[in-house]
Amino acid sequence: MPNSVPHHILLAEDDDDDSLLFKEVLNELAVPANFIRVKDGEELMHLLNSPNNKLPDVLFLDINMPRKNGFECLVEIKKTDKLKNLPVRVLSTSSGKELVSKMYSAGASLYICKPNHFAHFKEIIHSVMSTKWSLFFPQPPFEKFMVQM
Amino acid sequence: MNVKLSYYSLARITLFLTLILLAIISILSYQKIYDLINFDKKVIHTREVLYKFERVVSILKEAESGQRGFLLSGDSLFLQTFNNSKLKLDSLIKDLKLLTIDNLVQTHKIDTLTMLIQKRYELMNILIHLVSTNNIKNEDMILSLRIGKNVMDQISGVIERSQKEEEDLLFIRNKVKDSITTLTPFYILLFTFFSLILILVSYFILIREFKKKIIVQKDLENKIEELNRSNNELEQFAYVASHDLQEPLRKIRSFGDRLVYKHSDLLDEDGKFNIQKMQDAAIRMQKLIDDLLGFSRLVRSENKFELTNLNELVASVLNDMDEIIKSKKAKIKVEKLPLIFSVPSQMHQLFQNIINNALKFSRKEVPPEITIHYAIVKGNEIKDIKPSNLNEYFHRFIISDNGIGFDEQYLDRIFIIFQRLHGKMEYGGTGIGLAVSKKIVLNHAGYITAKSRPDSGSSFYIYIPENLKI
Repeated sequence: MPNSVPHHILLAEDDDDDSLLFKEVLNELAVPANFIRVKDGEELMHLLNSPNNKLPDVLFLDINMPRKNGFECLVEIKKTDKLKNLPVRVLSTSSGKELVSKMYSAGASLYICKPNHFAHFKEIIHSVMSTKWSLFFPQPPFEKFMVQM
Repeated sequence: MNVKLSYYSLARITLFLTLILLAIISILSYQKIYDLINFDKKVIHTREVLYKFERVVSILKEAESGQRGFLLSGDSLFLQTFNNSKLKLDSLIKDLKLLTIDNLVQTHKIDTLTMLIQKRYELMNILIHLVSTNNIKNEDMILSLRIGKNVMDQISGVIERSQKEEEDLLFIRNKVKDSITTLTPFYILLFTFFSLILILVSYFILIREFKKKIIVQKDLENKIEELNRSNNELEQFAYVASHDLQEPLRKIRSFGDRLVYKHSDLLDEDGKFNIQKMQDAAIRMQKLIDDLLGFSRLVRSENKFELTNLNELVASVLNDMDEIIKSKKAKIKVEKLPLIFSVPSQMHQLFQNIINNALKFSRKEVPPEITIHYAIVKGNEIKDIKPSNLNEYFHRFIISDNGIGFDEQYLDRIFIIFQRLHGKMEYGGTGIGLAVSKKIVLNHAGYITAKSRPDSGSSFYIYIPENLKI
């Protein structure tokens, strides 16, 4: 893996299975990462807003979550000065165009459609991790926004 | 339903009867008023005739008194009165003849009268002539006067009879008039009364039916609203269900992958085979869900209608399918297509689905031949068309192929979502293509149907209204 590997990855995902798969991907890719998972939007915002917390390098955000969904979290993050530069990568089952545009307008930096194959998931995460996203800061062009397999 | 029908025919019958009654009243009134006017004319006529007869008598008397004056005095001044009277009588007789020209009996009497008057004048003239030339004896003069009086009596008789005749006529006419004036108003009043009652009856029947109609219509409106609501809910349901069903399915596939990938050493061939079957089933389910999701998106999406050049659109569809067209050695003929108002992406999908079907359901060893015909037609050629569309014009596209066809008894089924006429193993697909096609055509307020026979190809008929109102 290249040197630019993020050290601190935060995953907001209510589904244990998806979370497990994500962790397995990281394991198999052998990404040396400090991985933290929160189970819903409220928990996510609480963690991000707590004063002593070190911000993650990147946030993977599931949209469909209880209490506070991914979109609400995204809007809140982009409204908070302390958090607005945090790269937010959206994870979603849906590839509906409306939803993708909505997340793009809200300021997400990537939209990943959850693939059906584990191998595909691995490929996607690998390619996401090895891309120099700082070149596209704060957002990539819309054509590159959605990653699907 | 029967009761309703009879109420309507009752209303119709009452209105019809009213019309007949009104017609009778009109004809009756017209005729009777006409009779009355005629009667008045005839009365005036009779009075004129009677008056003219009186005048004849009085003028004759004037003539006689003129003659008498001359005979007594020999003064020719009296002759002047006598001579004038003849002219007056001639014109009076002429008038009377004209007035009674329609009455044979009277005409005949007037002829007799004319003849008698002529005779009377001849007698008077002879006497005047003889007296003025002093050529007569006293007895002869008296004899002549007697004959004259006799003629005069005949004249009086004729006139009296003529007057009697006229008076009789007048009497009869008076009687008729009495019957008209007493009976007619009664009948007219009676008929008008009946008409009014009939109009009232039909009014109440119609009002009653109208009220019922309004209630039925309100019920229908409510039902339509309910239907729309439940339709919306169903669409919502299909969307949510297919969306949420994706989640567990994705996991079944991902963990299946993991199982094969991580533990393939521990699995024997049978275990791998079974897992493969599970994965295949999951893939198929994924496809079904994707299609369902696509279908419900089609229902939910906001459609942007724009002017679409179908020549370009179909060309691009064929371009997309280039690979399969070449591999099947298919021949595709497209007639000149129009520009229509439509949702381009949906039209693309529509043509793609139908052409794809034509390619897919081709006969073995027979290269597919597909033709797209185009024409503008009137709505009345479409079966089961809405009555309001009957006289509208439609773009008609016929997409014909030489494929395996189908039995037309299944025509309704082919447009239903996930309905298939062939086994999955023979021909792939989830059975959604035609359901989507139908939905697209419905979105464009059109109609779709098909004609086919097994082994002789199928023709899909697509009708899109020429002036689409959005």
